[in-house]
Amino acid sequence: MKSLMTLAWASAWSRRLSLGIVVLGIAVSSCLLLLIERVRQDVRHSFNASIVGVDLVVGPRSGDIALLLQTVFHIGQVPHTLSWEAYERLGQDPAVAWRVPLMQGDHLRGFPVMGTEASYFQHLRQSDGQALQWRAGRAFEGLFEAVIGHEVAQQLGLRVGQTVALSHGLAQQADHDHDHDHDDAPSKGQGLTRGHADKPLRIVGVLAPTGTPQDRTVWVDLQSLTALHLDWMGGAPIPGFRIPAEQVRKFNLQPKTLNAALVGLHQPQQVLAVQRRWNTQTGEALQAVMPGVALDALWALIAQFERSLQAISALVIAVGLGGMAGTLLAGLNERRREMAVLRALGASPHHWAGLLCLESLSVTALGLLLGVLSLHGLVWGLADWAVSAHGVRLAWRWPSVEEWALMAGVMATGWLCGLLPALKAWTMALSDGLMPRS
Amino acid sequence: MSDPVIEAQDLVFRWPNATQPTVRLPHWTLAPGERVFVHGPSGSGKSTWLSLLAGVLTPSSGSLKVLGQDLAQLSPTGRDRFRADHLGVVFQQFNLLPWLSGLDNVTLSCTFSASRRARAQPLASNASHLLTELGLTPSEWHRPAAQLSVGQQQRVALARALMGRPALILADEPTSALDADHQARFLSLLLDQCQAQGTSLIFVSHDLRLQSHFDRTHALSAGATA
Repeated sequence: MKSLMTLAWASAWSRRLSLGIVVLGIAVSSCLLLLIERVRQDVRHSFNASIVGVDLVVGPRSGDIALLLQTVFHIGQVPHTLSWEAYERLGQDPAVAWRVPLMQGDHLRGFPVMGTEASYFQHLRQSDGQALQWRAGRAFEGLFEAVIGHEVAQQLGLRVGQTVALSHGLAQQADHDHDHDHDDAPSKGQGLTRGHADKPLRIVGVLAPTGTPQDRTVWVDLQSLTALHLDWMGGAPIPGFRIPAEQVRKFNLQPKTLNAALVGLHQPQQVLAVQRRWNTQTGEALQAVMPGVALDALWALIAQFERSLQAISALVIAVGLGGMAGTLLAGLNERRREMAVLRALGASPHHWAGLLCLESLSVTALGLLLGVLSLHGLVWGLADWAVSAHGVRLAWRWPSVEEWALMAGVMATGWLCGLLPALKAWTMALSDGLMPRS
Repeated sequence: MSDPVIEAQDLVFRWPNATQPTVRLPHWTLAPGERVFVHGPSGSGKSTWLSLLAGVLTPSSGSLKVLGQDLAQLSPTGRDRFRADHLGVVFQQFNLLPWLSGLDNVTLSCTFSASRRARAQPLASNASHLLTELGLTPSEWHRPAAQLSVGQQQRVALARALMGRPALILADEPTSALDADHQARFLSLLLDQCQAQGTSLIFVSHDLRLQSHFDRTHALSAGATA
């Protein structure tokens, strides 16, 4: 059997150009198939891991997905706000164990800044349920202190103890003048383009990486956000009016409105009742969202799109494997002499068909292997870009169950496609007799 | 006299849908070590006759025993294995796998037969011994077969057929592609080696000048009784 393998290898090597092209085609198509699956899973994982430990997100009535996307993932905007009074009332709900306010505001060179409370870092969890870890420093304690995510620290080269100035406006609006901010933010303080250089923030903590949008977030105390905007109105500084940083403590820094609140319950199984209670409150139009349910709704929404992508990549695989079958079939005629030689030496038709099967399986396996390797190369090469551009962490990891299943599917399809040339080889071996028919 | 290598009795082979049988042999035998020259016009069933002997085809009626074994009683796979175990085959040309070296082509004959591999041990030294006997130098037999001349290729094919001392060699016009000098040389090598190994030989050719080198001649004629 070993010599049959070397025989098959030597024969295949003599046809390495055409087989190489087939292998390449299978590699590219299986890489595409696996990449789509990998991105799909990692996006889900990244999103799901961002709100571990949170039972409800309470905010203005706007739609489950919209509220979640805005508060947790900084995607899109909800036009309404949650009043401070409603936030206070949340705390009086006996079922509520803890609540953390969320207020979106400003950005630090493209990274969104969230106003919250220090207890945020106690209540939010990593994907494995562990508490958030600190890479350095601690949670903010006072005004003008900031905690930054791992990615922020990495990309901006920031460390605990440094000071930074925020730019006004939301992160997604600021992408186009990102470089501008980068150069000028610390010094500029004039007119409408003025940032918050007069009230710089001191970085007091850096979070360990979590693989979620949290890595790309800057957290400050809610009151810091208010303080930054004391001398602003309607999204612009009030001309001729300045309140220096050292005087802001004389003002009431309690915000009047929030974007949303994250809520944890004493007993998570009560979540439906609590949700109903807050959804049906009279007065302010509020909404309580179960993050997992809202995310499931989001995934269901894009499932159709995902399925189309998967179908396309499956078709590409089918084309690649069909090409292999075609190449092997076309090669059979040119291999008649090879077959005649082996037949004369005592090879049976099933030996010959077996060689064809072995070849198609090896070509498929080699293509798949190459595809998996290039997938990992891509994940490795694109990881930084995917995180910084889309907040998605493409982690290097062993293939998931679904990916193994896809690979098995590719192998099975390759085997099926290989049956056709093998069958043809078998009938040719039977009909050709001892001498090659030229 | 010992048992014949080939014994055909009332052998008839007819292709499906053919009116006339292609091969018909009322009685035909080949003794051990005997060398027979077989000739006949195109369409006289030479290739069919060889295919029957090799066990690739089976008789329509009658019996064909090779080394005492009735080939029709073996399964198709069994006949393939029988061929691998006991037969050597040399074609007119294209005997070799061009991407393998001459030496690897010679040892190839033991790929499909464990008993032949056992008889031919040690493979490499037996193969190089045969190749040397047939006038090939090591630098030639280490080259890919595609780079060898036709004459060299035929000698490599002969060495392969002789590996493991098969009882019978079937040679189908093995000299037709060679020029006169090489023909004579190849033929004498073939006959010498068969004699040395005690191998029976069926040599098919249309070149009647060669028949004087053989123990006897057998003429096939189209669709006729032999």
